[in-house]
Amino acid sequence: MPLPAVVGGQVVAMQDPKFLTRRRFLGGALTLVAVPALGACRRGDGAATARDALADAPATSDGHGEIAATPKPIGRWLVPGGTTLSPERYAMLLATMDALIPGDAVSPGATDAHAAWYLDQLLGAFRSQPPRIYAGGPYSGRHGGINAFSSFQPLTRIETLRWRTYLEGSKDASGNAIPEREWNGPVKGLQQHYAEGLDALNAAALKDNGKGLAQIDADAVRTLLDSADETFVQLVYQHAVEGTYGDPVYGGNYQQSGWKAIDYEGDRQPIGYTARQMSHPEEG
Amino acid sequence: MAQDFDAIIVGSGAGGGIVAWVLASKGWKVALLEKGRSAYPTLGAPVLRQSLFGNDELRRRRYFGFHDPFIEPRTIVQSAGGLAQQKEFQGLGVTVGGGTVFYDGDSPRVTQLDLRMLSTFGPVPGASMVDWPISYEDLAPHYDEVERLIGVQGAAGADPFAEKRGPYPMPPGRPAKVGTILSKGAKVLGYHPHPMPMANNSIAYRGRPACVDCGFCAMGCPIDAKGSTAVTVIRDALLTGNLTLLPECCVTQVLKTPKGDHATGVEFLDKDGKPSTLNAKHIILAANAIETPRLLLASGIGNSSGLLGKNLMFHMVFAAVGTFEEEIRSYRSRVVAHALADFTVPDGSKDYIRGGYVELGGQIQPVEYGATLPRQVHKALMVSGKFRRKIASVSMMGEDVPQEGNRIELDPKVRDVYGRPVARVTYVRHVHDQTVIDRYMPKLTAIAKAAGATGVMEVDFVKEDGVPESKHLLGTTRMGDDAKLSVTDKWGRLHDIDNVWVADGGVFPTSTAFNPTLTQQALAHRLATYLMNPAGQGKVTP
Repeated sequence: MPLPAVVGGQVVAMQDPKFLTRRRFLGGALTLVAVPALGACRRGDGAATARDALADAPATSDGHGEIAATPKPIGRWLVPGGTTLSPERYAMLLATMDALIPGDAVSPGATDAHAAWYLDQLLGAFRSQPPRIYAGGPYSGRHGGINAFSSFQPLTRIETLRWRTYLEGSKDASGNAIPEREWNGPVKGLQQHYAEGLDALNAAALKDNGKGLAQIDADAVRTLLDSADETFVQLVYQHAVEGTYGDPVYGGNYQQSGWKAIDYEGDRQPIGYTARQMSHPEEG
Repeated sequence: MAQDFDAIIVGSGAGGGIVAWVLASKGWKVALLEKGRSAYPTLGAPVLRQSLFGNDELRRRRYFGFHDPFIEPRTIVQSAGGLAQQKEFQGLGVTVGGGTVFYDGDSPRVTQLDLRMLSTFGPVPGASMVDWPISYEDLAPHYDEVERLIGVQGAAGADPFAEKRGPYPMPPGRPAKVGTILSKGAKVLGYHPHPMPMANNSIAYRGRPACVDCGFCAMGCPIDAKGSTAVTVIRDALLTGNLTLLPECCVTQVLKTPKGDHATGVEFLDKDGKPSTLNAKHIILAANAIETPRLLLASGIGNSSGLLGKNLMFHMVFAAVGTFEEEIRSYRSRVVAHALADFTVPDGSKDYIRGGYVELGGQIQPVEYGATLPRQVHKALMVSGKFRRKIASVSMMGEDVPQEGNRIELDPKVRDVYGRPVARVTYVRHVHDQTVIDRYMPKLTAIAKAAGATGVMEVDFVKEDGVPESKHLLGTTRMGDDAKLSVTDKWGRLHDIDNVWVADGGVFPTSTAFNPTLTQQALAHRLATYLMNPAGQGKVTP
């Protein structure tokens, strides 16, 4: 049995005095664990972060796309050209993801990993052919073998319908239903979810701070998120995690910064691990 | 009517793949319809190259080759008269190879005791306990054959509670630290840990390489070292020239004669979404214990007993997850390397029957882990690695006693992308199963502590209201000798129709104390052997 559900399942007892004692890991953990990293964002000014966000650019082969247009400064952020989201919303997304997974002195955060670019690539997956949904197989090429990951796979008919509906929703540009996308009723697409969610956060920022989401600092964004629509915050959080620790070919985890931050080896095929690496992981 | 095929198989997973091989290898013309896509562009070619899987969590999170709740939702009812809620529920692989593409490969056998629960222990109030209509002796030769076909590693005689058996096709693979330290802890307490029988190559086997322990089993094996049915029996069947593999074809109906006691073929949507039909002498359904009853209910077939879709079972999966001061990195390994069967034997308690098989190991990758952390503690826990690199898990497969109320029906409103009514699941946990969890959890914790854990999280792998997270789908077309009390006979054939067969976990009358895949495959092998030659009564002939 793989372990993912350890953290999603219901913890019925904790016997680690140093850690948690509450019945539910998910609710209980929040109040009991001190998190020094949260307050200590290393960036004093927005420009450093913005440079990180821009460093996305170079090659198309590693999934980081080509950013041709001149970067645009918005609030504390520099927004790369060629984004699927509007530049204003992209800046809001940078601010939100930075608040969710901050960088600090020792480890990079979501913006360093280009998690915003990752999400933007997903939203605009159909701007490329094949769409940037499923990387190729079997290898990344980082450990030998060919780099097949960067050749994205053509989608099947059902996969195309699925991802178009999921990303774009079930209505056409004039708001009319596209029947084949409404097998189970109308669907609001991920693009619209993001547009509305970011605009709502921005409106809240203007109301509470007198400044937009892209203008306020990370602590102020975190305060906003705590009283925002948690469904949307969770959506952004999931994508921030994917963009920070997922394979770089999808546009995030820039130069494997997410993996380096947590001492993780990433993909291992075709070499895998040696017998020594398996039996003596403490040696590194 | 002219027949297109001798047999049509619906679903290419654990059972369907095995049936395809047995029939095609004996010269039958077989069509294998699979709703999902193929991830093997060269599966039927002389040289197998390049799967489209990779060490990549995101393609798995985006449901590549997997049950996708966005296009095929399921609705769940958790109490009498409760509201049906649309949820992600018990997904398995939807691709050529089905669930065996993504499973760990755990391949233990059951024991004779597992097949005689009612006669050994008597009834359990509120549960529909029964004996299986077959014995371990009936299954044994089919286990042998399946293990040889898909390639199973293990050490014969290492598990003192297992039935007697011959050598495994290959020896156990390389030990990982997680299994070594947990085994040591279990031995201190007098238990009998042994190498987990796994459908992963420890050595090069039948044209496929040895496993390199990359730890990404759940994302599909990029080098075909795992014995999924795709790269073993289905590939072998394609090479006979007798198998027509039809991926991206979704079966919508089993077609029958006007009298209704004989099936004529299937109706399906092809790759382009066009409705089409195929005829055959026999129809074998192997779509899994949720999808097979769903298809039968939609076709109006097989329910004269009123039990079709009922007695749905999973397994209670619960674990003591030890946290250690030292690096464990349990992801540097195939998912499980060691197990113990001590708790599958009754301990004399009057409150419950027994526990189940225990896996020593388990692993987690960072996106899955990070995404389930509360966002406020994300950074600290990701960097410390406490619950990712420094954990070792002792988890039990608790038997799920059968209950008629736990069932699959057709949802009256919700539709899938193919326009079909979705499966509606009703499931309530039995008090027996909860008792087993309560009583055995401390024993699992003791093993983790004996192994050196400084802390232990006791985890019930459960969705809200007692629905287990197990991916073991069992029991909705239970087999038995009495047509009033079961849906299929002891071969897996529907009592109601003489040429429709079930070759998935649905035929399990009780859930057993073990991971079920190898047993599903042995049952499928037995079914196909009988189908080819009924006079042989399912005996394996060389």
